Amino acid sequence: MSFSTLQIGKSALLAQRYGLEVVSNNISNANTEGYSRKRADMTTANSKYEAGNFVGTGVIADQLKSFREEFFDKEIRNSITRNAGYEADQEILTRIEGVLGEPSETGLNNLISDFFISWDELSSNPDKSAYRQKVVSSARSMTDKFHQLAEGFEEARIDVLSKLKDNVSEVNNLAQRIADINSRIADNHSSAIEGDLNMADEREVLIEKLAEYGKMNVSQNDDGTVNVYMNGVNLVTGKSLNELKLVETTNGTTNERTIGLYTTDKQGNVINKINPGAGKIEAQMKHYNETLDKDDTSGNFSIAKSINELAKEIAANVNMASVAGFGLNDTGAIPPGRSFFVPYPTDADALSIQVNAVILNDTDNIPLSSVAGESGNNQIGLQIAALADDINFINNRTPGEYYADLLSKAGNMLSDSQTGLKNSTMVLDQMKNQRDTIIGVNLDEEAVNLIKFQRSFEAASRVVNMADEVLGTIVNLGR
Amino acid sequence: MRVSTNSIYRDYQRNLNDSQFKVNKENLRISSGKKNHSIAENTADVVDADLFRNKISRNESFLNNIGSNLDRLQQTDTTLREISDKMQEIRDYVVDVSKTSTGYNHFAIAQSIKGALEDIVTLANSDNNGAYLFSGNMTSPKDIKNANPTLNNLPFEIIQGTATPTNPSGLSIVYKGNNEDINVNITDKSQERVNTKAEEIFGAGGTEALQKIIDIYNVVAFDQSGAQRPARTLLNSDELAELNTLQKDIADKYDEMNILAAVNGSKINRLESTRNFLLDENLRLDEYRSIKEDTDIAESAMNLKKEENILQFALQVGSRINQLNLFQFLS
Repeated sequence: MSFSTLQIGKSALLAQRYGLEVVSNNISNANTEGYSRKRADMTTANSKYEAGNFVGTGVIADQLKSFREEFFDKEIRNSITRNAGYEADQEILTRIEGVLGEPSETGLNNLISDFFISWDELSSNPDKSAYRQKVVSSARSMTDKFHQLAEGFEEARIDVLSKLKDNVSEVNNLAQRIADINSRIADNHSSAIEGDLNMADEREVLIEKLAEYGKMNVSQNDDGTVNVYMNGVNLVTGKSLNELKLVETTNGTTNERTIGLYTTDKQGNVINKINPGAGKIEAQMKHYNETLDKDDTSGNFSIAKSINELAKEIAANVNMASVAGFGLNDTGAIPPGRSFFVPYPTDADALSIQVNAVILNDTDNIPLSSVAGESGNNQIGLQIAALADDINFINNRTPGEYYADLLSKAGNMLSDSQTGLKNSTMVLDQMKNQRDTIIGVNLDEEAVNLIKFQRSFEAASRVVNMADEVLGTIVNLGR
Repeated sequence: MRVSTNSIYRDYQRNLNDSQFKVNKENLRISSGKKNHSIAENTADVVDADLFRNKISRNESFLNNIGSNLDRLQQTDTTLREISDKMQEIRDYVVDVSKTSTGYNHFAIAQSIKGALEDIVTLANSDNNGAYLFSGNMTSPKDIKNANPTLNNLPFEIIQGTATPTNPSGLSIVYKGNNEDINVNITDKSQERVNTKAEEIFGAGGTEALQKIIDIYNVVAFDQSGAQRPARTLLNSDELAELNTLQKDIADKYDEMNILAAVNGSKINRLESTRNFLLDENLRLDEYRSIKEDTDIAESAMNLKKEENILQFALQVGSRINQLNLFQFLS
């Protein structure tokens, strides 16, 4: 009888110690991302028949329960994807806002307005060199701003490409790590339950990281491994993976450079083009291929293209008037055909637009007059000044209205991304909180469990002590 | 419902971030005086403020145009009145010459008429800030070509030529400008012509009236043989008739000149009323711009205080989150 009591005490000691270990592990992982709390499940050991009665034989604690919930995991992955997409949108659009330098009193709109105003003022003072100088200096401020915008958008585009490459590399890295964990889980399946559960936690963290880059779906396999799909395309299948690759293509007609995402085989050959569905990569590809692409042909809003169009129209319209004009010192009946902006007759764009060097070097060459030898003739100046109010200047808008439209679109896109990010962050936090109500560690609860297992361990020690005393009494009976 | 330690901190951190963001936003608004610091904050207001600012700048440029051209028109007004006075002076001389009862030194009067003509030509060559007033859009000396028989780069010039039976003095007038308009923008929808042209003042070719003054001079200074008129000799009936016709022409021109001065005056009035309108409009636009763009300091100060209170309480709650834990009570 006493030996079995010792055995019961021993099983209790082991079980409570196991309980203490699980609680300690929960406490130590209270702040570990993705960790799901564990519970040591204890069951009564099989009873034995002794002296006509069934007697208990102690406790067994070999079951570890994880509280992970697939439903929440899936919802959180979707929220993470949305969140990361908005985050990437916001990052790029904030950069665009920085390049635009708005809101400010020295934005492009003010500089364009100043340019046309300077023509107005020159028209009122056609023979005053100070006003001629003002036309040139306001034109230079405007063209400098166009250059700054074009360069800023191109730099932003290059940065987006660099980030895209990093992100695709990170996706491949995460997919590889998931495949590795799958491999370890498959190899150890059913032999190391706790290890399995912890690796599943680690894998879920990786999948959640992966979800930042695209819309992820996960399916469970019988051997404990998972398959991971990006918007329906296999990324990880058990132990193997399809790496992703970015491929840039150039349209021979429009020179438009676009980037696409492709799956590859083991040799790195491109297999299929895939759409990430949502997330960082999709957002970055959209801004690379559309918003920041000056040659964009998608028909969607492109800030770089819009700024280019504006520069082109300003140069074309001003040049159309100026080539018919005469400078202060020109003679003859045929105008010298001096364009105010270059390149001419080639179309100018935001990067190439410049004030004609002939005018920069001598402001008397500004073609203000419609007839040679008439210093007070301001006909060309009035035509150019009137462009500021021309409602058909570009897309049935004046230059100021066109820029205001462009600014509105960029502003609304940024505002949408900020609102989307705020909402999706809140949803994500709520989903994580809901999941944490099930899988999260509560330190108070663990403290109570700690006391519970500590006291039970103490009690089990007393059982062993008592059994020892009983055995001692029995052993000393014959002395 | 179970509450995990992570979720407590997650909510706390989000709320703390929100609160700090709001405090920072109000601080920025007060320190910069601007309501919006991002185009995303209130896109419509940012865009409107930009358009208002441009409209204000544009109006300011029209105000500058009006200012410089008002000066020009006012000078034109003064000059036209002076020319008109000279015309009247010539008419008075003609009346004196026509009085048959008194003997005059006609040649001396003729010299006064010639002097008045020279004064008119000098006035016609007036400039405003370096730009000739009455030479069309050929406003600069370099536009005015000096070629034989002219001697200078002024728009109007009296040429001393060879005497002929019909022009015993040999004087003639040359006009070297043109008769083009000079228009300037005074609002985004309207222009104003700011020059008075030679043809309007002096008739055909910009010299007709001046030529008639020379004709008067010829009649008064020379007899029908072309010789200088002796002192105290009266004009014959033909000469008086011719002088009378010329005097009427000058009188008509004098009337037209007064009308021109009135038209010029009405332009001055129009520019002044446009200036007042633009000044009023800019005041209104600046108020609209301010509503869209500037911080309402009182409102922001209240918001800042409110957000600071929230932040302060949030920080206090944070320190309590750390304290409220069973481990604090276990020995």
